[in-house]
Amino acid sequence: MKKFRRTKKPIRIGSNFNRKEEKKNNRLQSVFEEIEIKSEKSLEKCLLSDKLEDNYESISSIFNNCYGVILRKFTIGEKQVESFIVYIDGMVNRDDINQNVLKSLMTDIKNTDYEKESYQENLLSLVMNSLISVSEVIPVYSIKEAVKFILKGYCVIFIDENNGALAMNTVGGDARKVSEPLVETVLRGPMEAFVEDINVNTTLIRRRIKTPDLKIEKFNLGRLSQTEVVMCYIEGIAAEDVLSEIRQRLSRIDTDVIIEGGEIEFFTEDNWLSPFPLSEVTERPDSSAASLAEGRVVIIADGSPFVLIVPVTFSYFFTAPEDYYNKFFSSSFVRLLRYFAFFITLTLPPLYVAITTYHHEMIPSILLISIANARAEIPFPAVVEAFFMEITFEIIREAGARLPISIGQSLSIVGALVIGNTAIQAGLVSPGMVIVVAITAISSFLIPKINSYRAISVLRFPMLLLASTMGVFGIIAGVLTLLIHLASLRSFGVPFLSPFTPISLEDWKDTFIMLPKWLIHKRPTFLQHNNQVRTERGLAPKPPNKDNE
Amino acid sequence: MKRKTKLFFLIILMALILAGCWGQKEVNDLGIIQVTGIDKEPDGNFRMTVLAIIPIGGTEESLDRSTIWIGSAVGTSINDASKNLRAIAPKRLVWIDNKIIVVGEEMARHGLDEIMDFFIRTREFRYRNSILVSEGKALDTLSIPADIEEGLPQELEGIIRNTEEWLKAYVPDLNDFLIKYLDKHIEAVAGRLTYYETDIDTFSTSREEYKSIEDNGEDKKKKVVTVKGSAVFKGDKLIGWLDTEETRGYRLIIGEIDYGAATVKNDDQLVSLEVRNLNSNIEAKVKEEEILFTIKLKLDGDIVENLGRDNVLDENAVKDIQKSFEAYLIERMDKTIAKAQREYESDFLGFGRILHREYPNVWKEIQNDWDTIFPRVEVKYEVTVNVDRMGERF
Repeated sequence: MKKFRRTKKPIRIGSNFNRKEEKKNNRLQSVFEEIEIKSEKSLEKCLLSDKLEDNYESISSIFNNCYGVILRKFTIGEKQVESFIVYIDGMVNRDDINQNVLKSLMTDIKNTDYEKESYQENLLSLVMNSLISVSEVIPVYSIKEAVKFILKGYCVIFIDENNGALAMNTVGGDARKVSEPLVETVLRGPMEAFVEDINVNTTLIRRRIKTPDLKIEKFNLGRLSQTEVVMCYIEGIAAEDVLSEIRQRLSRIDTDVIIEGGEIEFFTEDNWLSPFPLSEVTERPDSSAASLAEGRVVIIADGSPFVLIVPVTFSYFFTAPEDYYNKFFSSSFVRLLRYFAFFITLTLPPLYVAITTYHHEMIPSILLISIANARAEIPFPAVVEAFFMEITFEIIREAGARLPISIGQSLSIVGALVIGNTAIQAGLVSPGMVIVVAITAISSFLIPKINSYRAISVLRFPMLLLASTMGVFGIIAGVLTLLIHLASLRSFGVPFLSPFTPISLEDWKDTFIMLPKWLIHKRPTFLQHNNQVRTERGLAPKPPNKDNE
Repeated sequence: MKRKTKLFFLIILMALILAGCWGQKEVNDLGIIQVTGIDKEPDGNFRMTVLAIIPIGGTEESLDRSTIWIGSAVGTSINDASKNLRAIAPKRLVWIDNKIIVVGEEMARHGLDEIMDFFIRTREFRYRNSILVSEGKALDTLSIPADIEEGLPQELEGIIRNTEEWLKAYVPDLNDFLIKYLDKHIEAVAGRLTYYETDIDTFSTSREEYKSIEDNGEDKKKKVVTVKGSAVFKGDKLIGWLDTEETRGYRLIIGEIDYGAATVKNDDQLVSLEVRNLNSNIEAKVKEEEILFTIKLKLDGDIVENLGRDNVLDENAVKDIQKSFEAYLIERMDKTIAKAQREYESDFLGFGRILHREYPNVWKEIQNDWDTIFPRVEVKYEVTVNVDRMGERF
């Protein structure tokens, strides 16, 4: 496949820094030093000691001033072996602990061989193998590991005279339930959306792709947050180069917290200066599953319902999930409309400014007269008008995004209308400009992906500047620059403008038009060269053959 | 800064200086000229009269006065006159939207050569401008108020559009006019702009308004502009006018007709035909010093009016109609050619061009004497009228 740019070697914080960066990272470093120091301390006692009191003290000192960490001492069986459990209240399922851990150890143990005098085996293995009825039990041998598990919501049990501990998966607690998508709603299609819990998210995907080839690789990123980040792909369909590239980029992330997938995007994107997003963000499991089947990779971060899909191309930003569920005509029409809307939103205000400022010959007679009449009393030139209206609109839109849903919608519409109308009456802007800006703004909403309409809105302002100084020539220069930039972008090695350049006509079935699924025989060639066939040929629907009846 | 970034900014800087659209003009600073009129002053200077639309910001009020501005200035050349307009123009005048060029009669009789260069060389004039010659001074004709439209430009535009289908007037584009004007073998014909006086109101008013006008006792005689007939040139000078019938003959011979209508009246029989699919051909034949031109005309007609004949479906009746129509057309064309040959001695029908095309040797010999030979050439007609639609009634 294509060659990738060389990824840099992983940077170890705390080594090989020059002084400038050292000063910058001083604050960060002290935080890390705390963790380092603490774990260094326990590194001295990296193994758990036999004595319960020592373990108890280490755990309590580590979790000093940590509200919610519960240490519960109890005795096991008739022999009254001392032990204690540690868990964080709120992160565990207390019923689980009460029923399956405490009850089993306190009462059910009386029925086992342990009580007999002749018992010789290790209590720890007995507890793990026979007594605790918890599905996942992992033995731990160091304080560091024990702390890790406690912080995840596991319940760790320490038993006297055993230099090991058991971490039991009793993770529980409250989290948001699977509900409707917040941003990516469709008119037709599944209404499930990802939630914050990574296990629920991977389950949602597993329900749609039922094959053992669906591999999910786990990474723990972020020193303070220890966020679980998984990388999902279908083995044999996703390209190996892309996979190794993603693995490399993910494993070299070394920062303090990873809260959202967007932060992973910062570390893994090819070109951070470009306004175009180079990974896709979605909260729908159905589009994630479809992308997996095409050969893409889904990156899910614990704690955020928005997942990343890589690699992504330009044509992907004009697709919505319901295109794949609707008929050929309506989907194709909407696709073409989206491309057209993208073009409008990028060039309509600049074109209006350029033509009314430099190229009056191009305007038909009657329109020229009416535009001239409308603009006769406006004190500003067309450029200033355009900038003013555009910025006002961006302010209204951004303000509307932060308000609660009940007020936000109506306020933004009313605000836009009132401001536009009043500005016209005050003689600050001409009605033509308001119409142009309104159409542009509405067109920018046509693009269904959440992270791209900001990008395009930002691009409009340099284009306006170019148009106001250089007319249509400037617009063409701007469009050309944009085109060159897009053509040079790569998303994890895949050229951003595939399948337009490098051209591959097979893949055009899913760009401007949306051919029915029985016509799309192969997976996108820019993602994968092996294992291409996904639908067999000759599956066109036909009326029943009357002869054979 | 990285090398790439430096290069990028350098290129942008160069591009800004090298190319671009300087000369920014706001739309509302323009005076959009719709009609240009040219006259010749007695002292040899040129007078340019323009009708321009000056944008006046009106939000919701309707203005009492029109937004059409008439400006007139004199200069030693026509370009000079156009610049002298700046002394009185409130906005920057542009000719990009100019639609009609009116040449005054005296100017046309003096010769168009001096002003044609201005129209072709300036980038602002479109080739779709209509060109008209006005009877009298262009300034006088353009000062006449419009009837119902907002101003004279719109009115003239509408009238000219109407004459495309009416055979009694001919208004060419600058493009078509120039093709004939610059061609040595054919003379050009332009449109004719004139006016008449009437006391009939041209727009309907309410009774109250009518009463108030009557009480005022205003002078009821009004001037109304009209476009009919055409103007014939010889070389670059105006030679004369063609009236409505002769213009119809001209248009038939030239063959630039999509649609037209004509009425034939014989005693008590009257029939009107609408013409479609007109095909006109002129053929030349030279036989031993004798030049003969044949005009072949073929057209289809629909009967739209019939008086006097009982049954139009009858074969004989149809043949009769066709024959009378053919005679009518021949008569018209004959009249035009008579005018061309005898009165004006100007070959605006293109006979010379056809002779040059078909008999180049002969043309080489006689081209210098064409002015004297042309009045004496013989012209024959072959007209075929095919009536195939009768309308609804029989």
